[in-house]
Amino acid sequence: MPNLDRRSFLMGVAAVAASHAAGAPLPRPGCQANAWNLDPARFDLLLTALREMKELEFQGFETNIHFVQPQLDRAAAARAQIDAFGLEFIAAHTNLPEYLKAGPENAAAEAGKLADQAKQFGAHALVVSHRGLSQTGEFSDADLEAKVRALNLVGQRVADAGLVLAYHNHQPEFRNHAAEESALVRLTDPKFVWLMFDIGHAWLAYPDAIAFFEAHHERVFGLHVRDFHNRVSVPLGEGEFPLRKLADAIHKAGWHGWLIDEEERPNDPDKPGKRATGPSRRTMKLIFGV
Amino acid sequence: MGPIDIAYGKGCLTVEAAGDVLTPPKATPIADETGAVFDALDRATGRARLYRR
Repeated sequence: MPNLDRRSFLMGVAAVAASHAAGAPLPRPGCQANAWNLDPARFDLLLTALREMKELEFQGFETNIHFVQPQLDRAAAARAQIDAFGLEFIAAHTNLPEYLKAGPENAAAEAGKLADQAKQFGAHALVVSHRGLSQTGEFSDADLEAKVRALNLVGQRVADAGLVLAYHNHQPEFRNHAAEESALVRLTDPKFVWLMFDIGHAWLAYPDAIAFFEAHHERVFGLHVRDFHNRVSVPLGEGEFPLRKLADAIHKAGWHGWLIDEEERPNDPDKPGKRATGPSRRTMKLIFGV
Repeated sequence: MGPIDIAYGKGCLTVEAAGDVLTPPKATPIADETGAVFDALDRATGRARLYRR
């Protein structure tokens, strides 16, 4: 069971009840498929993951685009197999195409191509990750401007393809008092650049990550929620991440984007699958009411 | 919930009570998974190299 005391449990139930009573829209529960052992050559493994997500009553999923790209020559049939589970394809995840050597226009063209591919499988968004401008959170204005320009162009091309571009952070963007993420929010075009806000990664580098969400929730397309015990990933509710505080912030903001459980264990040879997403799903229902 | 057969890799894993049994964390505390996460997205396998065990 999630590691919750009686007071936290009752507060969670009360907050959820208040949300329901007010008829306020709630976030929707999603799941990152990287909690499962997947293989680009084994589409059936992704389908197995989707079946299990459905059993756990998730409403949508996100996956690394590598796991659907091999199906492009049978995209319609693959999409039908995906749609059969009744889950929404929230987003395909990839890395921000290289833009310094190739140029931002070429990076945008590459992202547009990926968005076109993702759309064939029903994806609503293209999520892009980047290593961050520096490991310390200190960077030059020129480097920042180049990244902002690339993201804006990429966002336009992804929008042309009919998808939303959502930028996914790791820890570097939140080092030095969230310097890079704050700058990206301030300088990128809100019409074209949204956030897939990984609040778990952010929190490890910046303890005020929830305050960042409160300040910028209008830019947040989705939240990646994680939990950590002694900085090691654990299922939601079994670590120290302040889930209750996040639930309160979501409730107060009236935010109703995708709340995505991410149980990636990149340093483990075997992915946990339901062993982690099962307990996490229970915690999501308990704490977030969805 | 009864036993469920789950495809894992090339084999099949029967889980008696899916989601009810947790494997204790075995990983070495990792300050930053950024490199591994980025790696997983960058590699054709969709999986990061195993850096630490």
